[in-house]
Amino acid sequence: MIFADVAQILYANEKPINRPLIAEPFGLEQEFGPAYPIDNGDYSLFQAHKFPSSLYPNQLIMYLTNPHHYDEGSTQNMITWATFLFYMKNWFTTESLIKKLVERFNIRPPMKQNQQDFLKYWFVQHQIPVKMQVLKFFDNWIQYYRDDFTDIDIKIVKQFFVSLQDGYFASQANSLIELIEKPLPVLTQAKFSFVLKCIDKDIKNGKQHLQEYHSGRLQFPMFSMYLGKQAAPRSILLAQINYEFNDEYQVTVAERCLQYVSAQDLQSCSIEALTYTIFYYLYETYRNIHPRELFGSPQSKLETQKFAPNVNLHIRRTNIVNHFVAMSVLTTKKKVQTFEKFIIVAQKLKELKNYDASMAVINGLNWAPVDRIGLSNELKGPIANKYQELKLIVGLGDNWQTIRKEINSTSSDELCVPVLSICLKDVFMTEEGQGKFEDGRCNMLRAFIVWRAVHSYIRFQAANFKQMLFNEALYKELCEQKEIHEDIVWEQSFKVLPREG
Amino acid sequence: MAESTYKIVVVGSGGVGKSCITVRFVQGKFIKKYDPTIEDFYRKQIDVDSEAIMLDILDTAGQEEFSALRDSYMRTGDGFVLVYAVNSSTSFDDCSKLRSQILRIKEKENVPMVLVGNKCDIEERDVTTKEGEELAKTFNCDFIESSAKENINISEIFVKIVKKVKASQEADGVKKPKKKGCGSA
Repeated sequence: MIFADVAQILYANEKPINRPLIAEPFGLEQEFGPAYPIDNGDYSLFQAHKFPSSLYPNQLIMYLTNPHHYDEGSTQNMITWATFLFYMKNWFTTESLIKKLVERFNIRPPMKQNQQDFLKYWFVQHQIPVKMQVLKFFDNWIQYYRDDFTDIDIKIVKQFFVSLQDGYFASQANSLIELIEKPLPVLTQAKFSFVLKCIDKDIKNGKQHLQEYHSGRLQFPMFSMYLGKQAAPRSILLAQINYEFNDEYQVTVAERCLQYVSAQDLQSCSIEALTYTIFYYLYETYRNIHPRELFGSPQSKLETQKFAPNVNLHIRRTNIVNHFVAMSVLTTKKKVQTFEKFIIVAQKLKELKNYDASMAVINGLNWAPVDRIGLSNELKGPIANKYQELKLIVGLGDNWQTIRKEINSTSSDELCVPVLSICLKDVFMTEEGQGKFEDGRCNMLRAFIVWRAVHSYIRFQAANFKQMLFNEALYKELCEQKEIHEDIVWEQSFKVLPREG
Repeated sequence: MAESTYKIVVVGSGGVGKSCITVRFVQGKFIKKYDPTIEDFYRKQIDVDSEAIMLDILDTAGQEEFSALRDSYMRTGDGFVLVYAVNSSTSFDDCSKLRSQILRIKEKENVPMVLVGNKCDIEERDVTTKEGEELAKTFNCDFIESSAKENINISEIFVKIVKKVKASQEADGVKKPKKKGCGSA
């Protein structure tokens, strides 16, 4: 058994085990075209070397820790690792992965032990590099997904690292011990985070508590998800995000919205302030989204929503922008002017590369209850053309190719907010169309396509935020609003133009 | 070759398998180059009554929580595939709500629609075939049972809805509303 194992490992240096490298290697530049025509720092991303599309769990661990499969220091290695670490919960528990990595570290000598020359060659060329890879892999895992490890897991890996302290790998072991012992970073609230104090009704016990709700904004810099220089979506610790909503505490949204959108307030808000405030309102939540919130559709089921707090918040905020725009237009007397004002806001948001906010504003204007009253027919000249152009860009016709191209051509260190709904759809359709396993093998191609969709969404999170004009009152209004039931928007629409009309 | 393009919206409660139907239809069984980001991922050509029809499948999958976007899908659609799962009476009941939403958005009393009872391979049912047929009667639409898992009646769903859309457009006096390709002037 042992010897067979070793033979397999040796064989793995040349080609994959049990499965010829035929189906769908990671030669994605041929299959799909390069993911990003991007800045130099990112250039090698996703132009990966061949990697089998699916492997048995043991094969997968061997590939990931096979030092000969990659050029030394190549980013391909990092991408494969990033993909795996991001998605590995679909195949492994923390405990089982630790076990497999330790087994891999304890790689056994080859069967022909009497051939000293060969043994020496093997130790130097294979055993030591494999062990190094395993330790490097641990380092990445702990660094970027520290919250995968429970106290028991930490105890186990620490024990393993301690056992290496006296040997050849002492320095690596020491730094890993230091890493695992490092206290979790404290996530501090940024100055501009909005804290909502409100009465939280405890329905079960009939009590009320004063509760503080934070926007969940975190201080930077945080970790980098992979080693892509400027492109550095950082990992945050999902377990520490504690953002919850309670539907009980606020005044009814319709009331709130109608109060706010007295036309005077909106008219007095400059286009710039409106643009930057909506920009910031969605940018704030975008920047906090953890990559693992984006797969498995946790936002769509009540029981799993707690695993995607930032995604949920972002969806709510997107809907609130839709509602805010729609109700602003429907409740004011100066409907055409307000409609035009929001078109300019959407255009400015697009120029600022906040595609998500731009799409939210346009979707608000283009929403059926607003569209039916026919304001777009009253637009004239360039603003009418601009509206048509924006509608086309956010429209469903071409699978959002225009937005995708613009985002793909943006460097990761530029301020940009991609569209969450597009990312969620790409991930969902990938997961729906392919199984986690393929004939018992871990489907790495699925993981990679999901990771690519997620990465193309989160890769701007670490870009520097520039100071913007900001209307605090409007921001607070938006934060305090809840989603409106669509019937309210329709009722308002029917008030403007009766159903018969 | 010039061809008509129809936008077909697939709607239904979460978990009824509507995106499975979409994936099964647009990609077929063997998915060699699976990439949902490409432009024509949701497009497929079918032949109905010897006519080549290009279908744009609009599936809200993964985006159900975005309310304005969901409406956008519904507003864009020429025809609707209303899906429930035969093992979920809740999803069956939701079909009436969804239909009302569609009619409100389209501001019409009738739109081309096919009611689909998915997961018909499952033996333990909550909704009988007869109940499905009766609901379809009240909706004035066609009814079909399918299984995306077993690839039962998937193409038939889309053939049925295309026929409904064509009939509806003919009744409205519209011959071929959306022409694509050269020579379509």
